[in-house]
Amino acid sequence: MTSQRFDDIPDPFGELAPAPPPPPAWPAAPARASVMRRRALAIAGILAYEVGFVAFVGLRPDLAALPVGALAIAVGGPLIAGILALRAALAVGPRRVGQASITAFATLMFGVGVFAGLSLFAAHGPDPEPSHALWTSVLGCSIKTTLLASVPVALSVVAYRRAFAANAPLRTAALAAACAALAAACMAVICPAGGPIHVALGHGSTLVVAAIVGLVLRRVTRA
Amino acid sequence: MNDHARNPSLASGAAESAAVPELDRAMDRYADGDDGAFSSVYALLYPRLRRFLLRLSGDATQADDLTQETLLRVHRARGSFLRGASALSWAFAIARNAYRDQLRSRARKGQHQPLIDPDDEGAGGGAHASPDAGADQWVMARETAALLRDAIAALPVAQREAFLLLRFEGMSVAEAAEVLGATEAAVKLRAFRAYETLRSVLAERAAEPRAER
Repeated sequence: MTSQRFDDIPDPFGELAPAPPPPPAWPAAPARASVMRRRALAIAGILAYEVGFVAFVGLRPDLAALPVGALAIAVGGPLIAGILALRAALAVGPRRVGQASITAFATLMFGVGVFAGLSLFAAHGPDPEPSHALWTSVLGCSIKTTLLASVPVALSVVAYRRAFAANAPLRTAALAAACAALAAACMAVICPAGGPIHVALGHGSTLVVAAIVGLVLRRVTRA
Repeated sequence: MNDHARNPSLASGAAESAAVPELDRAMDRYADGDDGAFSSVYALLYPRLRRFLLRLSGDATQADDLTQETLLRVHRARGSFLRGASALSWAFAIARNAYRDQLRSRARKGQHQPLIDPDDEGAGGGAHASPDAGADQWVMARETAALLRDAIAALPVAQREAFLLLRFEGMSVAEAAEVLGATEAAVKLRAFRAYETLRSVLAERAAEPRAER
């Protein structure tokens, strides 16, 4: 179906249009170079914060003894989720404006699914019996992950201020979820607990929280 | 007589199509920091945006305000305009954001979407008819145009946007899908539903006994 199909509907507004008023003199707006600089600074700031946080809290004591495969899955799972979330946020179609919200949503959810799947089925340690201790450790880690994600979310939202012309809510949510996924990857080198429930809830739930925060912040990134 | 001479909208459509690469180049220069390119961007975008927003909002004053708001947003977001992007699609997506923001703001204040004043010359209103075409025909065209404007204003926003982009802005389904952030199938469905509604309005109008008109 093309617009040819609709030609029997006449244009009720005709072709009359007033002459455009003279271009207004608005205050200067940042050009591409300035925006790229801002984004590069944000990336540097995010990486510095994550490294600083990990250094401050300290690496997990069993890191050296951990099998390489287990460590790769623990770190790689959230990183894959982060890359897919970033793709959901920044991918554009042939006209470089945006992509269908369903495509972005599916990409984001696929990433979350990969993370959840790897956490649940490739866990490198058992959870303790569901008890007060388990939930305390889950809560403690989700607070740490939230702290690890908070600064990246803030910096990335500022870096992508007025950047999304189409689908801003979903893309901002995906951008924030990508930051949370990076935080979850960092948690894998901080937290020695490898049980599926602990990792999925303690490290992974922040993706959902960050996505909700991203939805709230959509006005900042919308063009 | 060629098609363009018979139908002025075809002639202006052809001129606008020719201006698209020029707009893309001007927007690219503007995004790179060339402030002198703004006058070209403004001159090329203003009529297209104003017309789209007039059809979308159904109100000439609102369309003027929204066009200024959209161009201000284009100016503020220029650094985020991707190299090689379609400036028109990008600006239409921003115009849609501005319109939706205004709808939300009006909904919060409890204001309703106004229907267009049939005597508002800024809205066109003639649907390609002029008094020269004969008084009867001219009155009928104006009445049909008013009826269609009301029917378009009554469409759900998502259907209206899709239909206007395809029918009046000359966009392909793929282009409209990118502006609206929807799949091509969704855009086709929305536009077709709008078309069906408008066609039934026109059919009812045509079926009315002449004496009732």
